[in-house]
Amino acid sequence: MPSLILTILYIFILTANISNIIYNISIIKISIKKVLIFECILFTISFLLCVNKQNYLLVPISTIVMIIYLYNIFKKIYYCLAVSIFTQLIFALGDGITGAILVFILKLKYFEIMNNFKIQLIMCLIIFLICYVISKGIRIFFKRIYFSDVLKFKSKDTLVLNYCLLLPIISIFFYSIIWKNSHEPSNKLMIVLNLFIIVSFLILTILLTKASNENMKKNLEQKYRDIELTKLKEYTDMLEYVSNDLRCFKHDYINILQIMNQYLKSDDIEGLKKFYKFELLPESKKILEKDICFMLLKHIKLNPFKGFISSKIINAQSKGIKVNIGITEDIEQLSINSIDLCRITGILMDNAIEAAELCDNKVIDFLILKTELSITLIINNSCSEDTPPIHKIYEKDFSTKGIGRGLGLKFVKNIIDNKYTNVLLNTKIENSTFSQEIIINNNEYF
Amino acid sequence: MLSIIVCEDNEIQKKQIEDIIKTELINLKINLEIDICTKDYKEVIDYVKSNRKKTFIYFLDVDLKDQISGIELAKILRKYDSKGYIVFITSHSEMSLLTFEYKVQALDYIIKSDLKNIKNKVNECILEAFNDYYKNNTEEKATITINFGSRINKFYLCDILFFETTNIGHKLRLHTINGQFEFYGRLKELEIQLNSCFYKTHRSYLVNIATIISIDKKNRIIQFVNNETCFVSTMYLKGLIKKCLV
Repeated sequence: MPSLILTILYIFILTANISNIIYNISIIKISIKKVLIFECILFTISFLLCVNKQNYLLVPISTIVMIIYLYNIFKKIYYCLAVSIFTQLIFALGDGITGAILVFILKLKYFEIMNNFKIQLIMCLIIFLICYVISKGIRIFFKRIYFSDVLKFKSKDTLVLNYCLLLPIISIFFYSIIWKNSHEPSNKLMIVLNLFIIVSFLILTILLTKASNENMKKNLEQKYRDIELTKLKEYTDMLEYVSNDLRCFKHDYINILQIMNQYLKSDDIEGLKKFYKFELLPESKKILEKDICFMLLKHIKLNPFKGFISSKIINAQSKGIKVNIGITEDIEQLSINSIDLCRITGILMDNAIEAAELCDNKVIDFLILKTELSITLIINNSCSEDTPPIHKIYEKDFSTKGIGRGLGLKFVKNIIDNKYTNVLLNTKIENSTFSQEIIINNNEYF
Repeated sequence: MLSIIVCEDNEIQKKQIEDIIKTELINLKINLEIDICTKDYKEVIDYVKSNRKKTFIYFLDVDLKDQISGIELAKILRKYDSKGYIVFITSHSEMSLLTFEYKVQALDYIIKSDLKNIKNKVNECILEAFNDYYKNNTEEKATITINFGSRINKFYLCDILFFETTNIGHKLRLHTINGQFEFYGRLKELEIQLNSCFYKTHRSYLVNIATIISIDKKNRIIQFVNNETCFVSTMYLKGLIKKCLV
């Protein structure tokens, strides 16, 4: 009976160790509840295996269970593979280090360890501690190099990397099983070798991951740069169009002066009055109404953002929406990551365009206001009267079917809540106008 | 007292606007006076400074030929006359009203074009300011002022549903009937500042009792007038019900 309790305890610590590592190294946050469920599943399976004396199956089966379970949660196969492999690796490393400590520092004999359950239990606890420290360290390391964005990005590179990782780890498993079963490893050399292999393998994987990560980052940057370039091209086209207008106006202006000159020369005041009233006034009205607000985008000195905004505005105008722009000061710096800024404004503009399209009076206002402390971005759009209240739009699964209005507002909120303490998001609906406002406080005041 | 101030640096246009205002006042049968009509912005500031009790309708040119623009002048005037009605006059058609609205809470802006348009606009502005002024003076609603950093907004207490903490320290979210607003502050300080109408129903919620329409005791959910919901903790449920029934 005591031996059964000891076995249960032993397996419990082992499985708890695995769960703990997963919890620590997962970059995508995983809730404690889900980890506990996983722990239960893993514990049951491991216990059954142990009772049936199938110990050597523990590692491969736990890995497979881990991959399946994680896939159920995250739905990202590469990511799950990576997490599972890293978990097993850290576990193996902890095991190796503990073995080394027990044999070299505490001077215990290997067969003594294998046959004494109490020492095994202590060994387990030491493994647990070491794994905890390592996984925490890796978590901090990952956080610093800002992995999350890259892992979300699907790529063939991750697949290759994962296969690279998978092959050696399988071979290590087989190697260790054969090694443990073939002869008594009382040899100290073997233990050192074991530790050495695992450590070098871990370092190799970390280096590989880092290299591939940087590679992907570069690819992403290249992609964004290309997009930025095409957007800027659209913007320059628009500017050319506007400057063309200006040239026409210049031409007209000279013509008008000449006509007036003719009237004055012939002293035909009545004719001049008629010309002014019936030709000049209506014409000048047309010029006044012409859209030159586009020129105001020149105040945005951040090229990616400028290109992005102009393309959104062109998109809105092509759908028959009147866009008012109000930017009076130069915008040189924003205390927000520019990809996040484009994401957020992209969603807000898309919402505005979708909502404005549906109503009769299609208007969008785009404003950037600058003060010493902050920069405020305001996007207002006209919307139909039956627009649902704000809190409905914020709800997670909200979508007005087929229209998709308001989608993503929750996402915007998440980005801001998770990453930025200096950004405020305000939304309101008033008099059939939907107003979205982002206040970006300058970082140095925080 | 409501009066009118005009600041325009072009002599001819100044006269033009003054005339338009005078005729429109007669047309509207509103008894208001033009206190000053000048091209010197300093005169305007001095006058407003010495008449702090009065509220004005300002007609300001955006491009004053002096050192400061009309917008900056408006900002200075706002310090002394927070309730005043500012109307800009400009020839820049590419600027939008919203810029003025957000910067100095301007009432409207008039584009210098044909006379008829100016007349109509002046008429509208005077009427709107006049009505608003007398409406505000007759009914006083309780408000709370919230600082968003770049600007300050007033909210009527009767529009507020509840305050909520976010997972970022000191960042609070205000839910009103019309929208959601984020600002920096502490729930504790708000609780002290607000009147007895508000009750803390949860570690992270401060609720306006006046806007509650129902409380689900079993699931501990509060429903508000616009069907939005929030939670009440077991600890505060009794107190909340007691407070609602009073």
